[in-house]
Amino acid sequence: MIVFEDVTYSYPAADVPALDRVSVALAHGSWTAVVGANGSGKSTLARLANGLLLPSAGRVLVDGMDTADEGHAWEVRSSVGLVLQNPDNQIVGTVVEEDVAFGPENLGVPREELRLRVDGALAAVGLTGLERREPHLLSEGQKQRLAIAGALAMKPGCLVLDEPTAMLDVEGRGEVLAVLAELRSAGTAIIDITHDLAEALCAQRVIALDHGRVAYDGPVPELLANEGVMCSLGLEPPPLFRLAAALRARGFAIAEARSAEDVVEALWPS
Amino acid sequence: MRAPVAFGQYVPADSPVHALDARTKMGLVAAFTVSLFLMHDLAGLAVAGVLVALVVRVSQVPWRIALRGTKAVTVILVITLAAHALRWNPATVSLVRLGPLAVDGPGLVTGIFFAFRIVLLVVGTSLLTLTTSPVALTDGLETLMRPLERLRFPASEVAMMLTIALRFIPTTAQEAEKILVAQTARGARFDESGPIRRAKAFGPVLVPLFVNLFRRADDLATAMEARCYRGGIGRTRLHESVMRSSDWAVLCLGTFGLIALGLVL
Ligand SMILES: Nc1ncnc2c1ncn2[C@@H]1O[C@H](COP(=O)(O)OP(=O)(O)OP(=O)(O)O)[C@@H](O)[C@H]1O
Ligand SMILES: [Mg+2]
Repeated sequence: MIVFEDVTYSYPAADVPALDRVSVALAHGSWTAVVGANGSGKSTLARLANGLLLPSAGRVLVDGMDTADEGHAWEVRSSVGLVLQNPDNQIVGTVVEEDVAFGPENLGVPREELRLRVDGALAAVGLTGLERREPHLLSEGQKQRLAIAGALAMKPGCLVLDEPTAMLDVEGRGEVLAVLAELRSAGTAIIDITHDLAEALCAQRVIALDHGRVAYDGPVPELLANEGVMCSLGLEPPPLFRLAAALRARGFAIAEARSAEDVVEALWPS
Repeated sequence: MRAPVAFGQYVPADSPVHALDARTKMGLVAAFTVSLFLMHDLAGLAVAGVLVALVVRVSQVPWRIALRGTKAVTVILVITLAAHALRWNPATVSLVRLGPLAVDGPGLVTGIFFAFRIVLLVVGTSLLTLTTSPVALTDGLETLMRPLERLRFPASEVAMMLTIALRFIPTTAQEAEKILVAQTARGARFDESGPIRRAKAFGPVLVPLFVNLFRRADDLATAMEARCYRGGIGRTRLHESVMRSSDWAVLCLGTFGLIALGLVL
């Protein structure tokens, strides 16, 4: 559980705060998407969630621990895993299993348990069998799953992913999203920062940031339907959603358009 | 498209030499070096040469690769030979004379001795990197440096730096490759002659490469901090390289044998 209480953050030497009085609570087992234009403060939010940045005002609580409390710094960072956009830049180890072990090694986890955690994390992302592979020989999708495994090995209750699929092709993106869905059903909270509203549809809840403020916080389809907010945020609904809206306007009854299957099912009921 | 950049000189194989711990091999290389410097005639070096040849055979490293290191020292070898063997207008008898230039017999023998010693040194030490993977080498170095931590030497951090360097060499090479292709597509030419022209041509490759490296470093620092990196304190390791009893045996006997050889011959 991560709670932002009236959090403001300004980078040193910046005149406008990157985040401005943000209050949100992110529960276990939930999938939240964070959207917003470039520079709206999404990455700043991610770094505040695990204590890499500390609020200028307000506070961030992770499982009840204040991230500003130095005594809890390592607990906070291990319970909130952070995955970045470019998989190449966050892999530290020279072979797959060494990289997964990096986090728990830093925590001083004994060797027998290290082995268990590494095997468990690799199984969770479907990379079992590639333990001795060198990272640069993996596909981009595999690399990003490796980065997720690296965070999982610290047994986090929550994963924050900063545009995890932005550099992946369709296949890689599918792999990563499947892993995230799997993790969520196992109880991990997912916070997925994305520019892709189709990807945001995987979430039950979407938080839209605008110049560091929360401009929308609620279910995804309602945001997509709310043209006023969409427009002011400069967001475009995904093509499938626009297609469904156009079909509805012509009298087709389409209740939900989360996936192409939903639309097909509504048009040609099986 | 050019061939991908070859990296390192490790020759993977399933040999008893490869199976030895990196530290054992480092110890033996040190003993071998001392032994070479203790020897004072060609007979001793010949025995050392036979030993090196044996190790090369057992390790299954192709001769071509084992001898590759000597190419870099060709100039030194030639100068060594010439400095010892050639004389200008000597008063003594010489083997061959070419005008005032003469080849001195005993000098030639000394020259061969020194040149051969350099060759053995190069081939012997390169066997370490040829038969040990870079990862095993770094791990070995880390445990060897660990006692220095008492003197505040950041052994674990240095090992971390080496590991990260190893990790990013292939990635950076791949990226250089991509930039090279991109700049070629924009009309940059890398086939021009003359060192200055060539250096200039590589500017458009190096600049984006370095900019990206700094960006990577930024991300990497964030990722490492997010994964609780706080230096070497309290860090455990998934793999700790272990010296097996066979390693100790080879190391002790080998060191003893090599030093004895050096003293006797
Ligand atoms: N290190 C920094 N120093 C100063 N200002 C920064 C720094 N990092 C970000 N900012 C500023 O803070 C604001 C929010 O940045 P942030 O990176 O959180 O945005 P973002 O929503 O992640 O954008 P993007 O979609 O481009 O990733 C921007 O105005 C940015 O210029
Ligand atoms: Mg960002």
